Amino acid sequence: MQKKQNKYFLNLKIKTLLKLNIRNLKNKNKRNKNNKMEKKMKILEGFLLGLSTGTSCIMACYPVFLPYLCSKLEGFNENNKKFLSFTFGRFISYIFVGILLGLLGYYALKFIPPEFEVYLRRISWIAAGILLILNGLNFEFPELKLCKNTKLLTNKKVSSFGIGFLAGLNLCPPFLAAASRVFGLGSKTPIFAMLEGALYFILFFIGTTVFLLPLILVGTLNKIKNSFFLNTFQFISRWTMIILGVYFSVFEGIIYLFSR
Amino acid sequence: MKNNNKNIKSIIKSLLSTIPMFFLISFFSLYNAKGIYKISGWITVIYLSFCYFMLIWTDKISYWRRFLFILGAFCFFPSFIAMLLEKRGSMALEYKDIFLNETPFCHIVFPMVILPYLLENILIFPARLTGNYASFYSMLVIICISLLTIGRGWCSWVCFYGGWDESFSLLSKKPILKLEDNSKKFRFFNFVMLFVVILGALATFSVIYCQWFCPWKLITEYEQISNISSFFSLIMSVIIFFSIVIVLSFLTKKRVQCMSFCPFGALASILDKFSFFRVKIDDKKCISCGRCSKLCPFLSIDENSLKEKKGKIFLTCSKCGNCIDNCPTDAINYDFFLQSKHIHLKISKSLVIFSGWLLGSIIMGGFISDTIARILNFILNGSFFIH
Repeated sequence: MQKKQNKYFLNLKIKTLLKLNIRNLKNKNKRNKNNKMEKKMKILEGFLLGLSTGTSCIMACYPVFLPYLCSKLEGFNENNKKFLSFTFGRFISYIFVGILLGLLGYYALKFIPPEFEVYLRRISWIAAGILLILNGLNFEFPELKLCKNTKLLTNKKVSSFGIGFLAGLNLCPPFLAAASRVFGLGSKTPIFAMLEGALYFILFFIGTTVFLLPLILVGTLNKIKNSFFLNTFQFISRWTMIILGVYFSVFEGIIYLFSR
Repeated sequence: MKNNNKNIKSIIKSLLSTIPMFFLISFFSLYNAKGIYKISGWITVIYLSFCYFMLIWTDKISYWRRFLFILGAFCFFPSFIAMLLEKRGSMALEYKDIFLNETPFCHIVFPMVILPYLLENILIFPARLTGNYASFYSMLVIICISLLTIGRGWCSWVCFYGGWDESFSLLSKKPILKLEDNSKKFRFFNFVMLFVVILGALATFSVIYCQWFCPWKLITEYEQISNISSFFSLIMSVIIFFSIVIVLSFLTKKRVQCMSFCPFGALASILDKFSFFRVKIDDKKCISCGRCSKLCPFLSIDENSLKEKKGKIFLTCSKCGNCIDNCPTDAINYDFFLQSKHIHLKISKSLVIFSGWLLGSIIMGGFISDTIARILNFILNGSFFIH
């Protein structure tokens, strides 16, 4: 009877151990799969973050680029060229920041002072403001011949790229949220860290660019036949650009930096 | 004899038109009024009703409109400043007042707060959403009603800042600095300010007009000077107030601040498309003398269109009635927006004047009554402060 009982308990032990081992194996596979999925989701999350917080992009990019587009209505194709240059400028700034943050990772938080974000934003305001003023004056007062002296800065493609790059450097809260997520990617090597950071920001960029697509429609305004309306609209856009440029560079840039 | 009969008939007609206005103004001015406010309330009611009667009887719209508009503006600032001094002891806004959303909601702020509120559900101006007449929702209701009825007429019948501009523009007999009538730069420049403040508010999430461009801080409230930027912003207000509101208006005999600087005026011009009334020129009666174009304080009448017998009035028209008063052939009139410009209905003119006067009396009547009460208190008790 005792022997039978011992045999029974031994079989039970073996069965339980086997079940546990099989379960552990299954869990390990699941965990590995989950880890890979998690990493993919973390990076894809960049696109979703951009899509869900894109209204901040409207607030950062429209004020600087919309007056520039409206101040000289040259048709759908020309408008798209400017838009593409602007988008490319943003793309470069996002990649630049993505690679930097991915590489530096945790240490970026430790060694870069918190005021860095504030100073970067204010300096980008000053630069964007100067670009807007020069282009506004160039469109409104062609007799000043600013083109000759500031050829590079008043070139259509360079200006659009510059405005896009500077708008991209404006570190808004969704951008900082994306940055903090990039730190948490946990890449094994510096090269992987750079690539994953860049990929995260590329997807974040695509998510936010969706909200900038309405800017393409500005090119269709050229088709309005009322020349008085078109001339007045462009006049208003040029002066908006000039005054906004002064506001960004002086009030949001220089005075703010002096008062700190 | 016939003339006497006509005069008596017109007086009786005007009196009958004034009676409903009298009762409405009495209701708004005397509701819950006690003590010295009852006396000042009655003075306000009698004054406003008398001016309205004279407007209807003489048919001089712009002339009598100014008695409400300019007095309202000059009574607004002592009343508002006295209320501030009674409540917080200073005109300066401290951070705790901003933090507690104790700032009255000004209508000029409206263009800046719309988009951030729609996009992020945040009111970027430190005012209450509800709770008093100067809260966001109550001002929104007042502005919507005004814009639907009189449209940009707000700028000539209701706005408690515009009277300053108008008074300085009337001081000189002839313009010392002539603005070109066809120059769109002055006529549409407030649209530039509108887009600057909207886009600037979007980019910085702050009310940039109030911080840097508002000339009215000198007669209302301003941020306490605690650093270089608040000092600069006060200096900017002083420069803009004296240069644009006083000097340029005096030199050009045009309402420069309202025409070329105020962003709310530009928004009101756009929303004027939805209002019930317009000012229209009847080309059949028009003799192209150009007097209306020269006298318009907003440069809203296109002189070229008069020569071509097409009589175009821009959307910047504030329905002040100056052109209607001075047209030698009565070719200009207030009309319903769908009405043909060759048909004049007397009722449309009466409705515009009635709406404008009533709205102006409701908004500014309180300040007029309060200032009179304070003056009476000063005479009787030696103090301008009542509470």
